[in-house]
Amino acid sequence: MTPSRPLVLVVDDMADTRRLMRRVLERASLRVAEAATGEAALKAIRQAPPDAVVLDLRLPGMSGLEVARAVRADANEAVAATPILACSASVQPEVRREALDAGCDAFEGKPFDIRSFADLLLGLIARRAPG
Amino acid sequence: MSKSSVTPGDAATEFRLASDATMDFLANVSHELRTPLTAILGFTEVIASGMDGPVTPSQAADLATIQASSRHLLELVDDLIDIATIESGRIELLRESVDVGLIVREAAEDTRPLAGEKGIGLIVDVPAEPILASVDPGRLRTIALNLLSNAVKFTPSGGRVRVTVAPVTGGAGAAGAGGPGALEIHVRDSGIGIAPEDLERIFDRFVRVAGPSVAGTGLGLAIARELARLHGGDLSVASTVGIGSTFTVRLPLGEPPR
Repeated sequence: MTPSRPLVLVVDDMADTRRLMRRVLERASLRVAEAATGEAALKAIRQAPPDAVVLDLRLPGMSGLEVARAVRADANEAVAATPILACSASVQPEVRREALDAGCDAFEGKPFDIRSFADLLLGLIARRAPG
Repeated sequence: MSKSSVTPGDAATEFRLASDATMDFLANVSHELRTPLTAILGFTEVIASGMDGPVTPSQAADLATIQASSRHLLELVDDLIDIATIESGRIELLRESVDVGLIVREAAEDTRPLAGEKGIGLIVDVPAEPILASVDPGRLRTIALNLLSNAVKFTPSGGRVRVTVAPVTGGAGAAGAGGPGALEIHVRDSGIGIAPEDLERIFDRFVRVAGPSVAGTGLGLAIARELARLHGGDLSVASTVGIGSTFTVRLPLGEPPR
């Protein structure tokens, strides 16, 4: 376990959504980094894998599904094991299935419940933590 | 049992293409509405939770109104998608063997906050032992939620809503001797009741016999009945004005032969 507070990378093209997630996660003592595109997210994850990623699926350019697949296929094991929470305003069952098939660990529909959001991420982080 | 194949140019194909476009459109509308609702509901909850500082009782009441109105919009979006999916004729039931009692209990728990706000007692009478049936759990959940929220909406404060699940033996629904049998979900309320002439109309789309004073889309019961029928079952109602209504979902335990 890292001694410092876990870092969550929030990937969403909507600035309002990123700001909301930052507020909620920082309130729960998590650290937050942001990316507005799939390309920027993948670059950040490869440079320094965060403790978890919140991944929007509909992004301009590289989609969330493409980001998830690229992360899971990465040669660096620390990158490939990054916990990913897909978070989308498309909530049809097939979208959820696609996200899980692409390697996301869980799916949360938007609007999300801000009271359980941080716990959801902490759960994913705990599951992946070594030991 | 061969089905006639569909070739391009057929009326059936054109209908299907048209409904593909409609479904894509509706999926986009849903996504585009949910995105701003995420910010509205999220930041309202941030303020209501006191994260930004103390909230006065009057502000809390205003925030609760914003939340209720936003959730109503969300419900409308979901109902429109459901009805369009049913309408397209391509709805596919993802059947699995599930405990119907568990799904009904979960739907009741989701309805409890709404009932609590109105001071309505919600009684869940579901046997402890599982009642297994081959159903689409997501769709069954929609049926249960729609009936429960309907009952809570039309029951005055201080009233009661009771949901029961029980297997039924014999009678219609069982496919002959040794058939898989059936189960019934009853949702009984102590609400305003429904006039005899309105009893069937309430299952029509967009019909709201109570008028606009009760928030709703007029789609919930239509969706619940369609979904029950897709499962090879049905949804019916019995009611007495001023006493209350009982909605009954009857579902076969097994998958009916096509």
